[in-house]
Amino acid sequence: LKLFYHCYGGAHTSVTCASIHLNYLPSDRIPRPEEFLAIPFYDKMDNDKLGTPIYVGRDECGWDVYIMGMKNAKNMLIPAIKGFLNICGIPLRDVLFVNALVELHPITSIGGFTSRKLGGIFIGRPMTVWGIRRSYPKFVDLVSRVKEDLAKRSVYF
Amino acid sequence: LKQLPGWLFWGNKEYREESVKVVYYSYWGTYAAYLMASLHVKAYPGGRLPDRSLIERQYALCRRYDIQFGNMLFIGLDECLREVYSIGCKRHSAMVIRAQEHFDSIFGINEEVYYADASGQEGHFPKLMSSLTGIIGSDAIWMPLFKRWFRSAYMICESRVEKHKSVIKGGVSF
Repeated sequence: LKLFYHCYGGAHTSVTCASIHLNYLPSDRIPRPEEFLAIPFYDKMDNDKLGTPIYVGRDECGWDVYIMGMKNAKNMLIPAIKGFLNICGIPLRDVLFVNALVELHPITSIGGFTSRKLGGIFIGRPMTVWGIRRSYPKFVDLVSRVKEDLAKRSVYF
Repeated sequence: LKQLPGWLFWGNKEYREESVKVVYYSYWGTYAAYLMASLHVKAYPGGRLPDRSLIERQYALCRRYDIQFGNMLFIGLDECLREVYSIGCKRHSAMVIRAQEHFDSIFGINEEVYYADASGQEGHFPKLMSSLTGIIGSDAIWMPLFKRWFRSAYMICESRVEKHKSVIKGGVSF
């Protein structure tokens, strides 16, 4: 059972969601900036690695959690992956893609572009943290809904 | 030898070559990628243009499904029983290949897939047709233009397919 949190660059929002999911980040409060920076994959995905699923950990229900960057091609890439798994005989119920690109603060996007695209990590990274802290409750809400869905699936199977 | 069970040849290069999946990819999956995949499985004849009905069938496919990016279209089996597909991946072919290769290893599939780039044979016509058919929808205009594109691309695609086949047969490492 594999769960893929995906976003544009696979460096910020998907990492945040995966970290909340695996309890690396708290769900009951907004983490301090240094807690974000302590996550190994935060603001680390290179452009030439986009499309590569990165393993983050295994949750309490046994789902392997991955992060992925898909640029703006998720509507093309997800069918391509599912099609590939289908022709290889992998049941699609074992795979779940979750779009982690929730309503994002514009500062996060600007910071992400500055850090990942322009290489201005010193300016961009704190901006992304600031923006994600502002919209952190939305990520917690998303992850809790995902976990509810996974629990239902576990009962179903 | 080929009538013997496949497991006897496990690890043998010749057997492994036959188990390769071939994926032709381009911006669109229904133009050059589809044409090359059809040539590969000999759905289109070599050395001459196919019948008018086959060209019109591909035209209809392009009109209906050209914007279904990411769908792997199964075209058929070639003479060595390799599965042949076409896929349209816009400008993200590198990302698609990377993703599929990683999913292969994540799920322990161990399928050998040969990715054949068809974008060089596509030209500008598909973009023109895809973007303008919403405005000018008449088949009377687009069908002759499509046939013209098809004729110009056909022989080039055929030679490229033969090259890809020789690469696969040569046992290239994937």
